[in-house]
Amino acid sequence: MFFEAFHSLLQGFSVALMLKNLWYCFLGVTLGNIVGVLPGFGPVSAVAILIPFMYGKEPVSAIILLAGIYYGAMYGGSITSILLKVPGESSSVMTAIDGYELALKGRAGSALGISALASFAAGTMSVVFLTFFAPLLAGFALSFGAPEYFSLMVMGLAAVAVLSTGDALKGGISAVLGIILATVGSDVITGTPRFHFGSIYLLDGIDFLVVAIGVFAVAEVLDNIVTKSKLGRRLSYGKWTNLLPTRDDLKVSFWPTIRAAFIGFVIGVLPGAGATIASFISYATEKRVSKYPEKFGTGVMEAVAGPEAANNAATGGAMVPLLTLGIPGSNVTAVMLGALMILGLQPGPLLFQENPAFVWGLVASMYVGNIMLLILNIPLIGIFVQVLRFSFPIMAVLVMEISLVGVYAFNNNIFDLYVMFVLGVVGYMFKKLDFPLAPMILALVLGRMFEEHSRRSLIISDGDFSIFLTRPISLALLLIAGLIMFYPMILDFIRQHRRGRINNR
Amino acid sequence: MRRGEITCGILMIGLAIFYIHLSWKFPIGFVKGVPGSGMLPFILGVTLLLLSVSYLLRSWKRAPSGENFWTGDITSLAICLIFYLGYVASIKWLGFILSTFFFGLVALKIIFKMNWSTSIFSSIVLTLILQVSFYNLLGVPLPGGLSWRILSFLGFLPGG
Repeated sequence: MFFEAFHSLLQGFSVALMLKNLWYCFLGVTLGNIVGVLPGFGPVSAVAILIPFMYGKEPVSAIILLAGIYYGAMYGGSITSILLKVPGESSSVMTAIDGYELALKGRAGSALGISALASFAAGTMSVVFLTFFAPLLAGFALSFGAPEYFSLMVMGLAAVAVLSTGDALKGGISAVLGIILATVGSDVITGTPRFHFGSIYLLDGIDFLVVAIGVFAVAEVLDNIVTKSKLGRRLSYGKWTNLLPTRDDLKVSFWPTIRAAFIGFVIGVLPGAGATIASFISYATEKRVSKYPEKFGTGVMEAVAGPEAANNAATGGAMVPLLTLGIPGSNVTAVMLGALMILGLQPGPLLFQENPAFVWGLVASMYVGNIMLLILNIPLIGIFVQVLRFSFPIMAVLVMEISLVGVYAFNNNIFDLYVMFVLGVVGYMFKKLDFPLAPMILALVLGRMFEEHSRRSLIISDGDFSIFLTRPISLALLLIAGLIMFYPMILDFIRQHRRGRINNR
Repeated sequence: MRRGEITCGILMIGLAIFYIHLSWKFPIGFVKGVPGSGMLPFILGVTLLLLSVSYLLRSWKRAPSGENFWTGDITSLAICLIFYLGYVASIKWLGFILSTFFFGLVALKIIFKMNWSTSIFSSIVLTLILQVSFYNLLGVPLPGGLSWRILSFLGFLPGG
């Protein structure tokens, strides 16, 4: 199996090292790096905005570009976190704590260097795990039928709904709204038009791209306009010296990077968890195993290496369920799943058999991309930081205009722009009320498959709903979904029980 | 924020009832062994209704936090939304170039309070960057409208 994977990987390199794909990889990681640096403009918006322009491109080139943006953004996010304590991404929040303290001590260069090296090491390790772990999972997933897929989607949605904010109720509402949006248009089984209100534009359904750009990019700009959080702030960039880390820095960062690579990969594989949670857990782990936990928060190199390594490793992990099961593990991979479908590919176990050049080309490109990122980040950090001089108002106008062009280019129809406008307002409201948006996007992307598999299962069982409970894999997946949904309540119950016992003593 | 949450809860209950009403028009049971088109929507509508009621009750029970939903620069938000809607509505007949230029100009001048020269210069540069990147380089067919007619008339386009 390992030899087979290695052989396939070599074939993947022959695809990834084609001049055209190298260019897309470079473009992706560079764009991702810039996007990661820019506060308030995350990789999900960048990936969503770029999808319309993927038309006509070869699927492998397109996905290399989009994946490059994803993991490139994880690298870029650390730059502003360390220099300015302004995390470009939520996954860089933990890096900002000690990274900025190190910068204040005049060690910004070392922190940036360690961040780049740890990201490279963990990113590469996670791609190695992906190389050998993904085919195993894909082989297992071949035994899945419609009921298993339905239960898997229930589990994925439950995980994203609960883990994205920890509030199962809000996550659940967001996920249900996503599936409701997916029911607009023709019925997947019978072709009956539904919920189109007489509009021919709604007969084909609402494209996930319109929703993704509306609720992420437009809503983000609207929120920044209201809170004025980034307005008028012309971000300056400080000086840094000693760009390369010392031998001691490398020594103390070695084990945190290795630990974080495992943590990040495993958490990345779990649907709904993703890079942010991985970086939080890595920080907590390093603090727990450290000989000087009291120094965490005052500028400790391990506290930069760990979270940075974890958030990069999580991107490789998130690719596993996306490629092998067709279930995205994060909002960026949810948008990427939509992109793959637009390009005519159906991610899942068969993708490895039907399109090996695509899958292994992508995996190989991630090795290449990580090397490119290291080369970009070490000597070109100064140039990336210059992007911060771009004033926010111009950025905001640019994002609004690019969103509009992106959505218009998708179907060449103005109606989509109105839908995007409405969803931008909805996204803003949800953001204000702390509703997670990832479950909505994931549910929208999976919605049609969700309905198709549920109804197919019922056709197979002749209307017997117990089909989902009588098949072992399906039952196990539903039990895990239930556990995820009721986990916060179980935890509360255990805590209250313990508190009661302590009080009784 | 509590008031915002309660309003949101009520709106979602309304949406759920409306969706159940719509899904009722489709077959909810089995038709010749095939689950009807309305089955999943009906289940989704009921689920949304239950979740929304739970959300409303939870928000209702919570003590007011003192935080207002409508904090921040709501006027700028309203202006931005109106201008954006105007941008979308005018893009077909005004064309991409003119509508993008005007949107950039009013957004930078009125919402972001930048000075006239910066606003005009930035809007022109942004419009040109977008037009060249998307229309000329990526081949996206952007709406021509009045912008193209003016450019044609001025002789910048063939057939003008």
